[in-house]
Amino acid sequence: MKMPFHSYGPAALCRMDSSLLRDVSEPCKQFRIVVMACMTVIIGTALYGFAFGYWRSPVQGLYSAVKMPLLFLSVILTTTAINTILAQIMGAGLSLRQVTMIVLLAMAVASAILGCFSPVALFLVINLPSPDPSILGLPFSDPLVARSAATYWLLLLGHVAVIGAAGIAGNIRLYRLLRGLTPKKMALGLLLTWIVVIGFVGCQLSWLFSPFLCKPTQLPHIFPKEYFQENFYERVLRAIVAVLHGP
Amino acid sequence: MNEEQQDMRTAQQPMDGKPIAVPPTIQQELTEGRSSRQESSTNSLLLRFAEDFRPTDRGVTPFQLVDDLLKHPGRVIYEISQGRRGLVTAMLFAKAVVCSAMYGLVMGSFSGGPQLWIVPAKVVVGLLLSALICLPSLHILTSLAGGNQSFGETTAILLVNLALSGILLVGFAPIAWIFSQSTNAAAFMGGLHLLIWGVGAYFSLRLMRTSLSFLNRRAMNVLTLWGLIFTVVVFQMCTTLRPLVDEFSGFRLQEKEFFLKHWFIRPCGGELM
Repeated sequence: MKMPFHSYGPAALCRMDSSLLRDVSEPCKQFRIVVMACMTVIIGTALYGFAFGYWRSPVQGLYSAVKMPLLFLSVILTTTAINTILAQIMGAGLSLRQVTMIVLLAMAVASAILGCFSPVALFLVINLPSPDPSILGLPFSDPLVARSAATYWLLLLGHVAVIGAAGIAGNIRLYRLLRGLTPKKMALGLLLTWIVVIGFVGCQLSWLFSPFLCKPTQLPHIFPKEYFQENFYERVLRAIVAVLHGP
Repeated sequence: MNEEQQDMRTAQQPMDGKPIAVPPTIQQELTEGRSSRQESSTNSLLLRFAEDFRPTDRGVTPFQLVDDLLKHPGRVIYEISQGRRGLVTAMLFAKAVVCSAMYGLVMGSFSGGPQLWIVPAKVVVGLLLSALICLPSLHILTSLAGGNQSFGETTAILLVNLALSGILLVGFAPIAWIFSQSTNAAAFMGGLHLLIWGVGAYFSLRLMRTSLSFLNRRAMNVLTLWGLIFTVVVFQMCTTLRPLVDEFSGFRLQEKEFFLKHWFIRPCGGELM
């Protein structure tokens, strides 16, 4: 029997009960699950992306609303092949189609959580003091920027914490799904391996897609050129060296 | 509706004149009384729920609903999950609005003048907006914890929360009124109103958690997190809609301010943003 699309809505994906786990293995129902999971990823992350960028300006909110779904989908696309190879090397016997679906469902759970928190995030962001327009173009270390910078860092940390929590919840659901499709001991090893791969690629991709929030000293923008001159890990290494030896 | 949900609902359908079946785990605890956790307050609440989980005796009327919310909350939850959900939801909504407005009137009596009608309106709008903002997270978090409720059921259960909290606020209204007439300290009154709201929120959140735990036959500890989020949103809403316990200062919203700064950091002499 064909289930209607709404049977695989965000709430059903988050619940991930035995009926959904059964349907994931049935080819005739997979298409509907994939469509709903993709829609959940796109809508959920777009809503949160808007709340993420809104503080700098509504335009930055729109940019982030476009970039956030692209980031999530790019992570899935770039990691599926290596995740499938790793699963096969470890003896899980999962096909490319199964791995794509599993990772997509985990991302859909994380996106549903982000989407449901977007009204709360937007409400709090709207009520924070807006960035001071007079500091545009000043260096970020300028004392005049301090007030807006404090809000910027608070928001950045808050958003990163929410996205991190959503990612953890998504991975917990991923483990449940893996346990249903692979032997129990293998599920945990595979999950940890995938988390490392997705985390490694995800950090770099989020660096390439940044800024989501945009500094108050800059105009809203989509892709600044200087971000393509180094990667995320080079930047982290440089920051560590600067802390240890001075700039 | 999945099979598990269908089975449970079939088991709970009222039969003509026969007692209503309750979830097996609860039933076992009721009949055998051997649960190791029976002494815990959560369990005793669940058992009370199991006993009350049946249609209301005298039909769904506004006064009966108040009585049931306070004494037999299981009956209200039964009506929401298997009975006249539309009617009960509408009544709960009306109850939440009326009770919040009544308490808002007491809050407004501190300043008098236009605040007598502006504060009730702000309290009603603020509470409903806060609930609306937090509703998607409630639905997704309960689903994540394994809840089977539809969006409509979740909305109705949230309204149970608002209605019970409103009834408690009305219960506290005479006390708040006495204080508001005997002091000029707006900060003290603000703190007192928040304390009263906190008491109401504690009991209403406990009822909501018990309801969802009972319906889903599993602990819904995730509601503690949701309660925290709801509290943050209500605090921010109070900050946005200020002044609630001070002189009327025009219809425009005041300068944007983060609730932490308004309620905690500035009174302690600190500066955040």
